[in-house]
Amino acid sequence: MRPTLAELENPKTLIHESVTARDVTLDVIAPIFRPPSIGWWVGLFVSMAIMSLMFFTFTIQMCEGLGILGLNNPVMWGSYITNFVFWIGIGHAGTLISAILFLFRQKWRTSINRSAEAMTIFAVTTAGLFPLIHTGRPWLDFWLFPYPNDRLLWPQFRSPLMWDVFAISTYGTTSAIFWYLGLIPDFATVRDKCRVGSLKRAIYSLVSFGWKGTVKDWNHYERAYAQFAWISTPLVLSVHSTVSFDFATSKVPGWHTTIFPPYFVAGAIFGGFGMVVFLLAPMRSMLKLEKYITFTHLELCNKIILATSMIVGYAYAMEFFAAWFSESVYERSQFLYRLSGPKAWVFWTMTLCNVVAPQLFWWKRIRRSLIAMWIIAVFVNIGMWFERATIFMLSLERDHLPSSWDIWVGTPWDWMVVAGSFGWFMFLFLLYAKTMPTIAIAEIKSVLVNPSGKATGGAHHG
Amino acid sequence: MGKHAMPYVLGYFTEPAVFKKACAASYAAGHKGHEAFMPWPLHGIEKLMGIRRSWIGRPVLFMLLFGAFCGFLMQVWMMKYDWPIIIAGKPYNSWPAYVVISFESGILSGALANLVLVLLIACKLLPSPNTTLPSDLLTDDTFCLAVPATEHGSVAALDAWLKEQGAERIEHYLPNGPLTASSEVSHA
Repeated sequence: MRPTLAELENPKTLIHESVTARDVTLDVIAPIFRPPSIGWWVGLFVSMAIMSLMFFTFTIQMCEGLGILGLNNPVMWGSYITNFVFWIGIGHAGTLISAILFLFRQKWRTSINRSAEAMTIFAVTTAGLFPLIHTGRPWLDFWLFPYPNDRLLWPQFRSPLMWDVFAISTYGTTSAIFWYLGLIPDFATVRDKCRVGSLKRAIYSLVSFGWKGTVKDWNHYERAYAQFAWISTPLVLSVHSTVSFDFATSKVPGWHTTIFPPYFVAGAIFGGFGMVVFLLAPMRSMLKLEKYITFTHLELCNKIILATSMIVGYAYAMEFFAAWFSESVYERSQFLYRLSGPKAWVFWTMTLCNVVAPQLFWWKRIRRSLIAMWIIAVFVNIGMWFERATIFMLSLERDHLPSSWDIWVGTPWDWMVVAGSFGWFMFLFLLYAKTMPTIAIAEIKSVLVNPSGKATGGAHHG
Repeated sequence: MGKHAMPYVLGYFTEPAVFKKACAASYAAGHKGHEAFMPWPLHGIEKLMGIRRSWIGRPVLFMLLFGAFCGFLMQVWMMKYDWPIIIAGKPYNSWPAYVVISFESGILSGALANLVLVLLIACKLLPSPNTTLPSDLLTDDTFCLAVPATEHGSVAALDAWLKEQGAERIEHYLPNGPLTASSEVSHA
């Protein structure tokens, strides 16, 4: 009788002992050599169509100005900054999986780290678009960097917005090179499976940097990989802390709080894992990788979602407690506004999606049901967007002066950009899934129980 | 593998444990210039082959600290000396505000140094459109121990030695040239 997928799991490494190194190579690189499926083409065109809404809006905005958006005084930071912080947060799960779980020697990360890191890069790429376009004159964004110029001016380094420029660009660069270093041996595997003399082989040969895989190479490579993990761990914790400083160092009621750095980091990991499950649950079936991304992998992600959901829920409660305990009339009024103001539905949507929905993961059946976890992951993503909207827009709508109060109402352009950012992200992810090994081949081989398939007479084909 | 006129004798293995033992035996036998290829890293093998731990740790740490120091210095110079401006009544040298950018400069400098050191300097790798290994299986599921014939007796003696170590297949390979001979041997 054929074993079920649950039985095809090894309790330690989660990969069944019948899986050989050859199986890993052939299964993981198969999607690169298969012609793209109709589903992939449909996905690509749909994501491109949605993405074009965002770039169309950017074009119109550059001609017409920021006035086409729903921004007003006092809500100067609307959907763009909400999108920015949302997408930066999404990226955090990738770095957590690739760096922090590596340092804790969590072998289960080997099945999901590659795609989670890809998600990080694409999320940071998406996030980076928003502050750049939000400046209104993006062609002058290079002014943000300190370079000798004819204006004889330097950036204002005491501003958290400048810290953000450095934090995000460092995060994007470091994550990208960490990801690329991991890809090099796997690109070499793809290279060696291409026909000699083909263009495909030349391309994979170029990107594999002439990788040979000698003992000396691996000796340096492994050291460098571990060092990247050490470098990335404080980085990932610092990036969303720095993003939170944009808000926490100001005096706007609802922002001026010391809880923001850990609160933002926990929310980022929560949202990031939501996106990991959202992407990997369908991807494992589409790319036929069920042997490698098992239910147990997804269940572990769901447990992290549950744990971080409670941290986030605690942070929401603490914000209310701090507002009450501070005896600041402005803080109290802000949090009453969130609970019962005209935009209370934003707050309650956030609470429902981020605190209530993940509680379903207490049940093992839900944690291991693909459809249920995917739906909850969608809720988490929606909830995280609304969390950012609650913090930024609702706080700005009610500042210290009642005379300046106003309400942010998004225009169609705002919503086109929100949708377009998802299209752009999915477009990049689909390209990645077709052209790169979506599982870290060399890493997963190192956790196989019987890589040659000889010890127990397991499957060995080819 | 360097430029050798004499062929290498290549022993192919698929059992990681057998391969590790063969590498240790090769080191013990004093095969100078031997090389081992692995599709995935086997931990501890470098010690068995007398290879020292990678040296790239300290230079990366230095670059990380140097980057942070330069980042800090840059801000102090720009904010205090080159164009001092009073912002929110704070001193020109408001150093606590410079910590974040110093940290990020250090991280960026360390990360870039790590990449450049491992690829370009330690492993001496450069992109090439036609990288070819002795076998395409060396990035798949096969390990290979390559021993240069010049260093240790005749080619035939090395054939026999590798077979004794459990090599499943033996080939002769001239670097920068085509395979000169190929002989399948039965699995020991």
